Amino acid sequence: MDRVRELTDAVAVELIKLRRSLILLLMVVAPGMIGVLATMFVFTGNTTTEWPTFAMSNAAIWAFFMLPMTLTAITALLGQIESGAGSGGGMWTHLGTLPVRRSTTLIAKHLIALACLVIMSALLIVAVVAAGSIGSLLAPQNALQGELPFALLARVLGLMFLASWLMTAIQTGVALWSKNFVTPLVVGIGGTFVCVAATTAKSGKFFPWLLPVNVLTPDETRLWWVIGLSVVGGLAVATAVISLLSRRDVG
Amino acid sequence: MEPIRAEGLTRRFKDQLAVDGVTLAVPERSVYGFLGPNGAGKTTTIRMLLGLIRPDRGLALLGGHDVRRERAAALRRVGAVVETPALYGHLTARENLEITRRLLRCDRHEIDRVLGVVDLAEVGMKKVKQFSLGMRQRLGLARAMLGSPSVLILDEPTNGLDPAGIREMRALIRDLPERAGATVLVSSHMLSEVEQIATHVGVMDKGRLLFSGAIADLLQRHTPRVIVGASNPEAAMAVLGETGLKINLAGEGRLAVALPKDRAPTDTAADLNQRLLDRGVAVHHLALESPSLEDLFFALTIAKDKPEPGTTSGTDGGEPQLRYADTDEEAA
Repeated sequence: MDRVRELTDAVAVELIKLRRSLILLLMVVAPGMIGVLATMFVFTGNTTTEWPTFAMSNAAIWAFFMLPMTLTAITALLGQIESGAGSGGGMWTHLGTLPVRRSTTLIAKHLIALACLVIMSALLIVAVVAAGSIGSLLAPQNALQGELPFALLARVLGLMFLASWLMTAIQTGVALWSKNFVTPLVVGIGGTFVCVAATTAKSGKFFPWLLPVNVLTPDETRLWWVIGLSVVGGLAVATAVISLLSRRDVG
Repeated sequence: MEPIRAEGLTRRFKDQLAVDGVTLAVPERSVYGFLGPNGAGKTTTIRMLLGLIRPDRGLALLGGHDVRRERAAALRRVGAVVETPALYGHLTARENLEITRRLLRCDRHEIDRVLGVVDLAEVGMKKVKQFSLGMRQRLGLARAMLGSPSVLILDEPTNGLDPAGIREMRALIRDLPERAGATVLVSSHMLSEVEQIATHVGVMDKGRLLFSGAIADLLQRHTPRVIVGASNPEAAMAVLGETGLKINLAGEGRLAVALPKDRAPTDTAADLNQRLLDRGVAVHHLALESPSLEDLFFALTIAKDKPEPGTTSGTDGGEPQLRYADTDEEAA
């Protein structure tokens, strides 16, 4: 019970730290950019006229590029809250002097990273539907047909969230491990590059940054393999990183 | 039970032995000045005391709890500022304090209280990135005082403060045992600072603790002396030499006489004066001189390395002896 309260306190504290941070801006801007792009697609007629296809193509853009890049930036910023120049570089030292397990703070950081992903996925649903609707209003000749794809988007983005778990754990772990901003960026940019360059590779189902893209596969077996790998791998990586960082000297 | 206790703390960084078997005990409600030059091992010792780094050997106890095995219990009543306080620049002073308050689970009113103590109540809603270094230091101290800890560990708390800020901070620290019932360990490389605020002192150099105890004990362990100015120094030296006391030249033709520890210094000084007068040597200057903390610090650190020419010789117990700040010359 005490551990649960400690964790809720740690999460509440992480939420305070997010105030006025760029993370909140990124969480809005990333899905918003897809929304703007999607609006232009509909307006110019450079897209399908079916809602489901429109929704899936935007989900694909999200999975290929925007998701890994945004996650890279968000996790790097999360790490820098404690070790960046803005905090004098030593917040871990202060946190280490408090009667709170370091592992609790690290778990809270992972939960916040996952929560950011959930919120962005929810905002993306809104952005895609809004984009299709606005585009259809502005250019009635290109209006999208069919029912609004809330359920489809919720399912696909929900699965993409699960498929991102391993990538999130790796990015968060690197960001918390490294004191500088560049290392998690290099890892994230490298992962995204491979993701874009090797999309159709057979071994893509093993590559953490490609797992969300695999949600788009019609192959159900591959889909659940990807989800399983991501969730189990994410938990394993997060546990390993938290365990190692909890034992590391501070400062 | 001492609120802060270290037993044989040792830590090596690659080839460098940063802290070598430090054993210390800080008495309750004392201000313990942790002295040493930069690189002496003070911060490493403090980090081990707080459980931030692991000792290779030894034990750190806070409130009787092993900081490694019973971390939460050990740190529950401890406030600390380690080096320049790190703060969240994008948050306000109040938000910074709220983070620590929540983790300590102390009352909301604590934030107002500690802001008042460090005189930052009016800037509580200001973002910390707009704070001066002095304000950051004070906010760091305020944060350390959240929850009225019984132990405060402050690493170089006056670093970067302007003279007025240093004065305020010293007064604040000096009064903490009385005002808050706290035990304070404060590290500093400034001897004058520790002399002004501390009741006890630990002297570190090159990773080793050379002395730990009450300042009064440290002073007592070293021989006070009387400076004698006489009309005829040669005659005075001859007369005083008969007493068997150690005599040095203290510059300007004056003599420094080391006083015995088994008699009140004033009595001995009066005797010496009488003896000189009886033998027709006029005395124009007679002053008792106790070593300052600075003198004692250098005596300890120099004695550890090697005895220097001009250092008075030991008389008892092999204690490291004092080298006074002026240019003594061995005379007797």
